[in-house]
Amino acid sequence: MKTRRDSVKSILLAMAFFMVTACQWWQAKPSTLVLRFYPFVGDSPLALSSGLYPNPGGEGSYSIRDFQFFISNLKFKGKEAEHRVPQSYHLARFDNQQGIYELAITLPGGQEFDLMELGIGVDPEANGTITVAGDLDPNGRMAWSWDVGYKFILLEGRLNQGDKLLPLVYHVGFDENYTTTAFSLPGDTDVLNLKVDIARLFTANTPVDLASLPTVKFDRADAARIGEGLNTMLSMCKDECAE
Amino acid sequence: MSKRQVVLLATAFAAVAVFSTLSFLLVNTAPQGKPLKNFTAPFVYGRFAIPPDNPLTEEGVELGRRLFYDPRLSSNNQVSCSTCHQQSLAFTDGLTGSVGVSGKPLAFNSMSLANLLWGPQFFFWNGRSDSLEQQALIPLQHPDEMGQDLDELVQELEQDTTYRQLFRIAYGGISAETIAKALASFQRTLVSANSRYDQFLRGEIQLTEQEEWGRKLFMAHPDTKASLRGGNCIDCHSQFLTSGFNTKFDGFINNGLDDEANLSPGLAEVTGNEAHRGVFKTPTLRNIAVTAPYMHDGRFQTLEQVLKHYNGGIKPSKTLSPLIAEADNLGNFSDGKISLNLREEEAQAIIAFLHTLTDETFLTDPRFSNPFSDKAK
Repeated sequence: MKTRRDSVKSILLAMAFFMVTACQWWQAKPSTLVLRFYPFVGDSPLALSSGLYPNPGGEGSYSIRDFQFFISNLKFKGKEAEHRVPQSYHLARFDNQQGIYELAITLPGGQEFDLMELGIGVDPEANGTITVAGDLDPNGRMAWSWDVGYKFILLEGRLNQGDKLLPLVYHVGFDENYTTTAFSLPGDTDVLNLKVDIARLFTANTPVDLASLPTVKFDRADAARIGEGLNTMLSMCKDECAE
Repeated sequence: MSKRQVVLLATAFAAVAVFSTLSFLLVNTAPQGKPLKNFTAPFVYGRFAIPPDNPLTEEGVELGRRLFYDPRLSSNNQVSCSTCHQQSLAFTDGLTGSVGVSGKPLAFNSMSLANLLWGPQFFFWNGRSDSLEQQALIPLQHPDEMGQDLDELVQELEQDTTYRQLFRIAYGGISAETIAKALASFQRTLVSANSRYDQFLRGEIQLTEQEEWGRKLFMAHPDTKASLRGGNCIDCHSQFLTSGFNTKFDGFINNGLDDEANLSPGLAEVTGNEAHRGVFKTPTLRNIAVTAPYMHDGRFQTLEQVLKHYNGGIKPSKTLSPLIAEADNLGNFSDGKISLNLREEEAQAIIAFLHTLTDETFLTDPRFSNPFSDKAK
């Protein structure tokens, strides 16, 4: 026969079970982290087509008609946890109203992450295939052709030197220029601001005179010279780059 | 509660349940035809999206095909979509500017309708329409194209039993919106994927030596430093689809047809952006050998003339694509004259490759042909 004490016990048990489940559910609720990429050329915010920026290693100034690049393989690490974003190929582009690239990442709940790793460009494995994953599109503007792979960075514009207008084309790819970088994550934030400094592409070593290197495509040494700037192109910024 | 009350209550519950199920079914089984079977597309074409409110159905596509070939869609009942979009010409009309009900030639060349699910999802040469549904009703009403009043058209189609039935099954009724949906559905099925280039991509055939040379030139941006010669086509025409790129306005460029003083507004008419003056949609090159004349205004009669344009005929302007301005197989673009500087044999090889994009299956596919002609019946 059921005693009164048994009934109380089972009610308490049921309540405990309910609370544990609720906590687990609460903890496991995924969170969203928004990455905002703010494009700059040195200290000036990027203004597509209209902005004029000094030629880093020579005379004149240049404008940028288009700028896009691939971010890939986003990975979040904590003391005990690691989370790889699935199909993580994101084409950052800035030809929108706000002029920034925004990327929302869903992170699993109940875990703490203190490091974010990402690649700039396309990893060699994906670069050698025609797989459609994330923003990778073999028929897209960033694709060269299936035997060459993807452009990691696309920068097109013009150099003005007095009356002379020189077209600028920097299409930088190739496996050896794939770059990974990492940022420590400030605790408890749902928005991360990152500065994209395009000028770094031309100032990694000796500043490039755009007139003497107006195009970079398939010459591997030239591509590497621009590619060297990739590991310092991104940096964390608090609110100052969003102002 | 008496037994009688229980029975009454149960009956009431049952009635409510049946009623709500029925109304749920009525609301949620909006008229819809059978999903289209056997719709396939090559893997290399990549992703495509069909609007959720206009899924491809057997009936929708059949309707769209009838409408496409039906001259009753024009004010004088003499012009159909197929007047300017003829299957044997990859859905173009061979004219510099198309001619509709007014007899006045249009300023623009009729565009091929192939693989519309991919490439820029902005239609017309200046991209003024962002869906095929929206696009379909524009030439229908344009006074120089089909000049049709939409209300009159709905009334006219209501008189036709076949249309009434098909529209009822596919969309629940006839309206301007469902006419547009049907036309869009049919056009989405126009997939060209059996040219010699496709057969080559599938590993079924080999290209001739000249075609293969042309293919390589097509796929390469010239780079004198890397000793790479190229025709520079790939910078605008994607490698498999050969259309413009599909994201945003990436598939629109100024390819140097006119100088600064003579630039047409082009995409700028839609975006209001000065940098888009003289910028037009990059068309697919699928079946290009049968879609002369070329360019948005049909100014070139032959592929040789097109190659000549890129090989020395480029006119500079502020919005000219830097990829065209800078593409030069001799590497001396700074001397002011913009040219690919291709050799004659190279231009010929590219033309030979362009001919491998002709897809006889597409040009003769009975599913795309006139349903009113005797042969199709």
